[in-house]
Amino acid sequence: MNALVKVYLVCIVLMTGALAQAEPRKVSPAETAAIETSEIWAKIKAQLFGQRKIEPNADSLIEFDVPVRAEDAAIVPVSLRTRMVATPERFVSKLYLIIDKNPSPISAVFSFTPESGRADIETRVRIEEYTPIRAIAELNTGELYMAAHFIKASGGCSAPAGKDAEAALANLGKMRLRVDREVRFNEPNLAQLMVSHPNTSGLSMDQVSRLYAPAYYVRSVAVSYGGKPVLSADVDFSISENPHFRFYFLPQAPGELKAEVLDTRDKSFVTRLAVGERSASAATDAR
Amino acid sequence: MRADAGRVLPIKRVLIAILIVAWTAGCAGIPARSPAIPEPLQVADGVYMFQGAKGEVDSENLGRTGNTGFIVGESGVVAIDTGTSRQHGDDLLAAIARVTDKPVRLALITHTRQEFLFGAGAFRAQGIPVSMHRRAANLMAARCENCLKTLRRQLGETIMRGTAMFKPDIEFETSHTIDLIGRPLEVLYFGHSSGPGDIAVLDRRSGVLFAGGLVDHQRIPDVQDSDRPAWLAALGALARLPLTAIVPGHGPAGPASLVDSVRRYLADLERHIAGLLQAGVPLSAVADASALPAFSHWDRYDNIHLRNASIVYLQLERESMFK
Repeated sequence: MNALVKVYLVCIVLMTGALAQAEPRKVSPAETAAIETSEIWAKIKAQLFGQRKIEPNADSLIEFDVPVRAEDAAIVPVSLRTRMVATPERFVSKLYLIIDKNPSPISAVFSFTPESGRADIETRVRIEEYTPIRAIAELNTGELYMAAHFIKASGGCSAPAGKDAEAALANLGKMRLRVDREVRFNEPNLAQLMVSHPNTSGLSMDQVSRLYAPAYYVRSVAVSYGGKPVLSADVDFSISENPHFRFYFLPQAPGELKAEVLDTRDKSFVTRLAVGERSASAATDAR
Repeated sequence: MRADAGRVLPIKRVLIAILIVAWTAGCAGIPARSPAIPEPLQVADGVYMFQGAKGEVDSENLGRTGNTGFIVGESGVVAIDTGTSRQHGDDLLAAIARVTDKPVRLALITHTRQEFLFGAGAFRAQGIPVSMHRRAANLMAARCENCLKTLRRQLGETIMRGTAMFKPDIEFETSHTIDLIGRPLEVLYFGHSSGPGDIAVLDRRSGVLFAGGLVDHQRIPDVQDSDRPAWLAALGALARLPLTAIVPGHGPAGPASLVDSVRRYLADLERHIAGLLQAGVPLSAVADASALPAFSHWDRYDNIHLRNASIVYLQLERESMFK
């Protein structure tokens, strides 16, 4: 394929992903090139997927939403929605979130099941510097699709005053599951999980003490409903302090939504939420 | 170029020409073309301000986006805030010297934001002590090396030449009266409000308040480092003072009622974001849903307001989760 056509196609793919946004995302040729020719990505691709073919984001299978320019690089919302009718024969089984220039680029791997109802996830990540950011959807059939953006964010003056990290440590492991609306059976319902955790990378220096806060972060999340897995996630310190996940589950009858979190010191935290016939519409505290 | 000009024209004549241009521009009230020669606005007898540029930091405005000022007493001058860069500080001192030949005895820094801090080196180089609240100094030490790096990248070495991190000569903890220039000045500290260590400075004689980070005018206040309930309480305390005018941290000077516009913004912001959180709007949609049309004409609405929205969202979310 002619190089120009290639660039053009990538642009189209990127623009399609951005249609949902109020302002059209402008992708400069340099950003397109950064996405296309990233050496880090070439390595990760080989490591995760070997020789397998990754299709561009055909038919907007992934709706991948990141801010064009993040005002706070420590908490950048990332939303991945899959726009495919899931059947037991063909569904999105995994979503990979890759942030090329982060110290640990493979930022999250989310696994879904038919009990998820929808392979959608929203979380918040740290962005170290201007970087390509990618979402790869893996189907149970083995097909792979990728959507990518270029994101402008970097620390600078946005470094926090530090009190939040202390508060996060004081509340370590407190968790909350939330289902905002009345639960409807046999359709996907939105849930939120928030974990109080500093999720430190071990890479940021306190400018006063000249010390590095040790790496200490959540490494896995497992959510089940009625004993069946709904969502599991392998994550690391690319996820922002106080990790937060919005996801779906597909309840067929009253049951228990349960979340289990494991961190790098092998501490395990569990929270449960009873989902009943008449679940309250208000947030239910499951601490 | 400059060397050539020096060769063609005798240096003395060039200097005189520059002085005449600067002098006439000042007298006629014509804003000087280059922001490098700021002309102060007189707010009251002996009370002056330099108004910062609107918008984001860029090489056109030299990053000089914050207000600074000075108060002239019988026996000297107190400067309030020091500007963005060493050169900015030098320019401020030169501009003060054009107004009065009394010595500058002290530079007070009202809060920890780059456009108020980094001119301090110019004052210190002339032996003028720089004073700030201990908590403001601590925040500067914790953060501002990065700010300075970013600023250097944005503005370039020419604009930022000679600008460095510093430790204030005087650190204080509480409200106090400054009796240095034959004109009492009140340093007002309300605890961690718009930021840790943010202060306001009241000139008792004129009733003019330099409000620093506590009050902005026609510009979105930045909630990033704030304790909002304490900030609102501090604004309440300011509203009870007999003020004749306020010099805000950003934007033009105005009447005492500027305090109310900041209170209104903070209240509207909190109410609006609480509504979004209640409605289950995710963080990714907050920017698009953050519109507060009553404030859309304020400077930095397009960026500081968006950041404020996300900061308040995260704070309220945390409060609701871990009360």
